[in-house]
Amino acid sequence: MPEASREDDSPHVQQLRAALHYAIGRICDDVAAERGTPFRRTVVATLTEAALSQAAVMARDLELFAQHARRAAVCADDVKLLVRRSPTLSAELQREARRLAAHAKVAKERRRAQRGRRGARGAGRGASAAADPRTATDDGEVMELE
Amino acid sequence: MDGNPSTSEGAGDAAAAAPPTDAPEAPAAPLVLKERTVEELMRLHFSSPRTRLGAEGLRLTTMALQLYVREAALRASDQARLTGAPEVGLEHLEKVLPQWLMDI
Repeated sequence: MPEASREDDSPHVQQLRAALHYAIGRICDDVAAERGTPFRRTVVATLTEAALSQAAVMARDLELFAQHARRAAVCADDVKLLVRRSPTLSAELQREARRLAAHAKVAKERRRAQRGRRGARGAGRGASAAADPRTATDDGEVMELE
Repeated sequence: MDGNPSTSEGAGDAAAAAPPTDAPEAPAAPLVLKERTVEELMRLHFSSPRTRLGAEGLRLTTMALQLYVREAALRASDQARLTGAPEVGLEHLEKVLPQWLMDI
């Protein structure tokens, strides 16, 4: 959505800034609790602005990586490429990516097994609707890893 | 150039021997940053309306942004401790920001 004024002060951006500010306040609270030194409010505000700027850079880079791979959707590989310069970020993300991939694999095999069982009951074509991955899974996970 | 605060050059004092902030064995901190927020933030800056974030991409981007911000907070906190300050102020954040910007 290429609007000229979308960058700084539209209500939507203000809303995002507020949400980010809240989360960053909590991140600073955690660090303050761990280290025993409180953060001044101005630091949280400044860090929020810095994070907003960096988020813009991240978004553009992620989009470019996905486009380079001829994809419309930004995927795990794109994010891993983004954080390649930081060893700590790379390590954390690698671990989480593996966990997510393993989880997706388990969910997929479970769905495949459920589809197989339904087919065996002789429900025929009608079974295909009930075998929809989203209704079949009992995960309750919001994340739809398919 | 390792992003680890204990080896950060931006501190101006290499004597700090703080332990690594992210022990590999420790589980990742739970996300305080909402995926929904990050998704909208990213979409705001995508140049194409076709570009979107997959579920895994969104989760990892959210983690990355949260960890990245946490890294800045940790380094600023380290800087405050180095100077013996009672609280983390702008002068500490400003000192660590340049290196932080280069580490992603």
